[in-house]
Order: sequence, then C-alpha cells, then structure tokens
Amino acid sequence: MKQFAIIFLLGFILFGCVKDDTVTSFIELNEITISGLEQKYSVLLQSRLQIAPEITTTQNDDSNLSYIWYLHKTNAAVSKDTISFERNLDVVMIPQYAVPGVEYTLIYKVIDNISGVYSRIETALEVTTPYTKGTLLLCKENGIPELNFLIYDENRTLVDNVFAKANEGTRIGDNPLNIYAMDPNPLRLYMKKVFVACNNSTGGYYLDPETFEIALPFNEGFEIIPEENPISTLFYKKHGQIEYILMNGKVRKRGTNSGAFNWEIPCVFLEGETDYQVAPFILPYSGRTILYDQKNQRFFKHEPWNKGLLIPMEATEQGKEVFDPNHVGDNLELISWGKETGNVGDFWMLMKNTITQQYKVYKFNITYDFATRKQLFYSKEIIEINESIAPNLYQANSFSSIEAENDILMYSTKNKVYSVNMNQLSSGSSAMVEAEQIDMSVSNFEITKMEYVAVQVPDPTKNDPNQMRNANQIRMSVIDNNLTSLKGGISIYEVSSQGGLHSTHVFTKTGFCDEVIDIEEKYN
Amino acid sequence: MKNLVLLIMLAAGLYACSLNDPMIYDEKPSVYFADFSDNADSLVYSFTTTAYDTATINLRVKLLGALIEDRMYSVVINPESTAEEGKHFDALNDTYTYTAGQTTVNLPIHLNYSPDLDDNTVVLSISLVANDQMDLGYPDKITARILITNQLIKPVYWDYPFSLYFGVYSKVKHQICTDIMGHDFPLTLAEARFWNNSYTAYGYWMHAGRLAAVYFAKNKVYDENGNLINTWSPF
Repeated sequence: MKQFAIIFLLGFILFGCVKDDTVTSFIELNEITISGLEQKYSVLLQSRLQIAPEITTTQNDDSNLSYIWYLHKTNAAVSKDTISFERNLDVVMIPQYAVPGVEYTLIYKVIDNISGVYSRIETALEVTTPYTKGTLLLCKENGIPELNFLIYDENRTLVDNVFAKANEGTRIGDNPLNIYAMDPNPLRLYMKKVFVACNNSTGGYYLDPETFEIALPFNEGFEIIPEENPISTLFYKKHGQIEYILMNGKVRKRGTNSGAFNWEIPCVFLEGETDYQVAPFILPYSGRTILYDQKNQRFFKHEPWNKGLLIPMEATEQGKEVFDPNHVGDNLELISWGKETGNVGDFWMLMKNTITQQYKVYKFNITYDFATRKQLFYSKEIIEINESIAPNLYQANSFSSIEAENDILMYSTKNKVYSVNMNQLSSGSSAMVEAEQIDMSVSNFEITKMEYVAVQVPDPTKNDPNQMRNANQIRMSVIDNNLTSLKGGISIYEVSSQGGLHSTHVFTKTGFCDEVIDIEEKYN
Repeated sequence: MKNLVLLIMLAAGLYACSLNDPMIYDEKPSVYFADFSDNADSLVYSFTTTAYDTATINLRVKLLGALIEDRMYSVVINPESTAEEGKHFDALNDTYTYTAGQTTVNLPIHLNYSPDLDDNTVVLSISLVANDQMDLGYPDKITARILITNQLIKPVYWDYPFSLYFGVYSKVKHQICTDIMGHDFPLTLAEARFWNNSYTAYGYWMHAGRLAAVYFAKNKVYDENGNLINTWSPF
C-alpha cells in the first residue's frame, strides 16, 4: 500500500515536468518596404486598374513573398473584397468590387511566407463613369426638353441627349423647371438621384445618377401620392438632418439622416391662417428653417425639425416697429434674400410690389433669445430702390444670391449682369450701388437666365489630380445670336472679391440646343 | 510509469459518471391562452370597427406537452361576466377539440351587437378548466376577459406611438378623427403598421394626424370632460 501511494504521488510530481521550448537561435527578418503607390486612384467603371508598386526587402529576396489586394468602403470597413493576389494589380473594375460615387480604401499587403511578417499600405480609390462628375444641362431643342452633360475633362466634352439615349422612346416631360443632383446621405446610396423637376402630372423623374435611366416618376416618391396636378417643385434643399422641397406652394420634408426616401405630406400651420403659399426660398439662417408665406405676407419657421408644424415668427413690439414679420405688407413678392454683414443674424430681403412694380429692400435681424428659447424677429429698415441707386434693376429678369456670401445680390438684364452690395444701402442715401459685372452684348449674346452659385471646380495638383476647390460663379443660360440655329448655350464666370468684386470668364459653349433651362453640378 | 498513473486516475474519474435521467414532459398535456394573462383585460372589441351586427373573435389556445391524437379541452364562463349569453354572445360549447400536431388552436367566440352596447361595456370572462383529457398550463394564463361594446375604445397603442400623430386622447377627438379619416382606428398596432397593406403606413397616419391637427386649430372643440381640445405638434 505504501509503495502504491508513493507511485501514485510520484505520478503527480511527474506531471510537474514540462518540456522547454525556449528558442535560442534567431532568424533575421526579411523586412518589406512598399512604395510607388499614389495617394489616390481614380478609375472608370469597367476599365482596368493597373498599379505596379515597388517592393524592396532587407535581404533582397522576394522569392517567398505573397501578395493581396483588397478594398473596402472608406466609411464602412465591415465588408472587404479581395481583388487580386498578384504582385502588380491589373484588374477590371467591375461593380462587384466598387461602384461610382462611393469612397473606397484600397489596401496592398505583402507577406513574408517564412516569418509571417507583413507590410501593408493604404490608398484611396474612386470609381467613376463618364457621368460621375460634370455639369448637367436641362435644355430644350425643337421644343422638346432634353438633358445634356458636360464632362469634367480638359475640353469640357459635351455629351448630347443623355436622357434620350438612356430611355429610348421616353421624353423628359413637358414644362421642365429645374434639375437637381441629389446625394443627401452617403450612407444611403438609394437616395442618390438626379431629379428633373417638371410642371406636369408626375412632377418629373428621378434618374439613375450614373446612367440617367428613369428610376422612378417623381410623384411615386411620396408617403401619399400627391393629389396636386400639375405637380410643380420650385425649390430643393438639404438643411440639417432633413431635406425640403417647396412644391405647389407647400413645404414638404423627408428625414434624410434616417434614410427616408419618400416625401411626407405638407407641413401645416396651426396658428393664424392655416392656408399658405411658400415663396421658393429658404433663409440662409443656421438655426431653424425660416421661410416666407407669399399668400399671407409673413415669415414663418419649421419647428421642430422632425415634426410637421409651421409656426409664425415671433417678435417683440420693438421688433415690429419698422415692419411686422406676420404682415410685412400688401401685394409683395419676395425676389431674393441673403445675409448681411454686421450683427449675427442680420439679413436683407428684396421685395417687389406687384401692383406698383416698386422694389424695396427690407432689412431685419433674427436672434435666438435665451430667455424665451425662441428665435425673435427684429425689423430694421425699409429702403426704396430707385433708378439712381440701381439704374438697371427695373430691367432685370433674373435675381440671385449665394447663401454663404454676405451682402451681394446679382441680377441680369437682357445682356448684362450687375451686382449690388446690400450693406452699402441705407435709408435716405441715393448713392448708386450698382456695379456692372458682365457685358454679354459685346459677344452678341442674350441672357435668358442667370444664377449666382457656390460650386466646386476641378483644381488638380501633381499629388491629387482629382482635387476640387470652392468657387463663386455666375452661370448664365444664353442665346448666341451669332448662330442661325441651335443658339442656346451657357456662359460661366468666376467671381472674386479680391481688389473689389469682379468676374472672370471661365467657359462658354453654345450651339447645342435652343435654350438652356437649368444648370447643375454633379460631383459624384 | 507515468501512463500507468494516468490510467489509474482516469479510471477513478470515470467511475463518478452515472446515467442521467431523460428530461422529457411526461405529464398530462395542458392548455393555456397564448396571448392573455391575469394582469390585464385580454381583449377589447367594439362594434364601431365593423358594419356588421355579429363578429367572431378567436382566442389562441396553446399546448404544453405533445398530442398523438386529438383531445378535448374544456371552458367555462366565469360568474363575474356581465355579458349575456344569447344576447351578447352565442353559447359556448362545454368542450372544444385540440387537434393533434398543432401547437396552437383557435377558440372561436361569436359576439352579437345589442343596442345596450351603445352606452355600456359588458365583460365576458372565460376560463380554461382541467378535464380528464387535458390539464391546465400556466396558472396565470388560463383566463381571458373580453370587453364588448359599441362605444369608441381608446386604441391600446394610442399613447405610444399614435399620440405622436394625434396628441392626447379623448373620445370626442377619437370620433372627429374617425369622421376625418372615414374609418376608425384599427384594433391592434400590428394592423395599424400595415394599414392599407402598406409597409409605409406611418405616412398615412402622419397625413391623418396633420389633418386632425388643422381641424382642431380651426375649430374650438371640447372633449367629453368639458376641456378644450388643444392643438399639438403633429409628427
């Protein structure tokens, strides 16, 4: 028994023995260095992407290396796709790998098969189609609406009739109004569309942003199909977490950040007059959404952002002294508005009396009152505009201002574009504030429409051939009277304030349609 | 030597193992109500939701255990019931068939409209009872209370989420909303979410809510308690 116990205990002791696996010899690693990749690659869909990186190793031996190329969406690294196991990348970029309009990260990994040590490098990747980036032109030719596209290449190549080519036998629709390149939520690709707004029974079409094929009639993109006929959308804007359309005089929204594609039913007033007719503008106010009711001549706001309530603006008695935001005047039409240099919340508004045709500028302030936790309206002054102040204003047919730029109103007559600095206007002053920006008469051109917009334009560098920069541009739809047919076209000028506000010619192209109705940049 | 020690220790360990008793249900099969409990009224039915004078509601009965052949389960009407047999509901059978192979069966209750329901709500309280073929399942899930009326019933989902669209509940508001929409609110939230067979039915309720909000903004209306129905911020 004693012997048995000793043997038993010995068994336990033996369990304490372990084999010593300590490594005493060391392997020198064959360290890998990767170079020769650019910071960003841009490739056309269905074309080849070829990259030949330079690989150096400390032992000058690449016989035991393996390679892998893979990519993922830059904003969502959950799903990764392997596209090659070759040293050099040479693949056709198919939609299964990557699609246009999305930012990707391309990773190249080189592995030493002996040690398992690897080196990896990342680069940005962008997939495009001929229609990914460029300028959309909504036009008319022989009375028929059509879509043309100016590619962002050296020659600004015009691709004609892209809608007709993509949608055989279908017309854009009667009474085209505007074109919008919508991409409100990069995480929800299904919301990315080109919207051609028409004044007709469907309201226009949503188009596929890469092919311009019809995706959906506009009137089918609503929670409840609108009863209005015709449907007329005069304004679209992304504002914070939601988007707005001003359609048939009513405010509609959709929850962009939550990925809601369908437009809701119109927002409603519960105070004062419940019927309204919104002017096609949203005030460039960084807080609440503030609009103007043309029917009742009042300011109002949409609050809170996630509900359907419209509320008249509030003002103290002092704030209403010059004019009342809930009844600005009679027979007034809002022409344009914008921010004014001065106090935070200062704005100007150009109004036209539809009876007398008189133009007036209304200046006001909107300030957040912490005590009441509301935006309060303060009227400041009303300035009559006569011909001594702005001699050509009364001949103007287009008016425009940029949301992010203070003070500047641009307007165009038949041949010329003028600017007015609203900050220079004051009651009682009759000094001329109008400045001529562009004279198209020297080219024998007429201006049919003018917009003053903030855009991004290509600004390629050696390191980044796809770099863009911000620019303020005057974009005109023109008639080239030097031609005998297809006189329509566009002319673009860039505006700078250095050394005084002035405009520099960028690009003109005519002879491809009868009339350009709207111009829109497409960035992805 | 080491192996011998290992072998001895293993043998000692294995000796501790014993056969586990199989854990299977070997009691008499039992029944219980799938959706109801003692804690609340089971179901509210209002004839305002239908154009007919009769209606059939089905109470789901579930099985605890297994059946290899059909069996009968029993029900009784509890004394607390104020609904009258023949007037508010058709007489119940003493027993109903539980079909073998089914995890759930329906117990049909046939209801009848009566003019006294215009101003009153009656209660039909039914309990499952054990018999020689089937026992009772969970003891707190054997009784169903059905409230029967022809009055407007506050939808169980009004406080959430429908208050987002329609504000605070009142019977007067309920009736006016019904008039505006042309129909009453559905009985369950599941029906409301899939109203008109649409997966985006919330757009419909948003529309109705805003119409209702505008109505009460334009019209001064008092609820059944004499309080002014205030407007709300509609979703």
